[in-house]
Amino acid sequence: MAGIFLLFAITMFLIWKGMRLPAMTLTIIALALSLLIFWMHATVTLKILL
Amino acid sequence: MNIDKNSVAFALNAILILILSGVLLSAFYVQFVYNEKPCPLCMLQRLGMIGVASGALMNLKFGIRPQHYAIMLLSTIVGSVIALRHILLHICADSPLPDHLPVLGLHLYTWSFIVFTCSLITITLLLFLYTSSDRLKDKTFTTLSNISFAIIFLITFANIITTFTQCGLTLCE
Repeated sequence: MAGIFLLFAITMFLIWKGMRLPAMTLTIIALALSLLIFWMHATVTLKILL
Repeated sequence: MNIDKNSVAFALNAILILILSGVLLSAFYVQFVYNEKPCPLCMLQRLGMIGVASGALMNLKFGIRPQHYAIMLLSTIVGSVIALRHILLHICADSPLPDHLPVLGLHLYTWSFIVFTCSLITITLLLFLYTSSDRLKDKTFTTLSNISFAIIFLITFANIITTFTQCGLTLCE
């Protein structure tokens, strides 16, 4: 999960350097990875609850 | 009185970043002062807030564009879905998650859901302010946006360190 925070830090660096498209792409990748981790977490807790 | 919509939108974006920074800093306060380690869902909610701030930073740096608002809306939806699931898991009697300390009467995940809902309303208001001529004006960072950029970058960097010390390079359990 530290890697996703790192992706956001890189995104901010890219914004600072004025690279718009790579920054937008990285943000979307980071959000997609967050959703993937959320999905994995959700399936694990569902197994515990059921 | 003639108010420039573009300047209002820029100021609101910078203020939104500062408010989100405040929320993330208060999460750090609870983490270190009350020794409450963040759970994976809490970290994902922090990521959602940083995502919203990233979209607002793009607006400040590259000028107001609908694509940046789309990123902010996407982050808000991701964050609010995670926060809502966190609330629902704690409502469940057999919840496998540990109980957390309430802050001002509400748990942090409930506050997080409120913050995401308020962000959604703010972004909707900002979209009302948007006019197509704004897109052409690429603005350089002002003092307010420089401060907000520095704060959110430092918070993101602090999150990298705390998450790495807690979970390493693996997924947090």
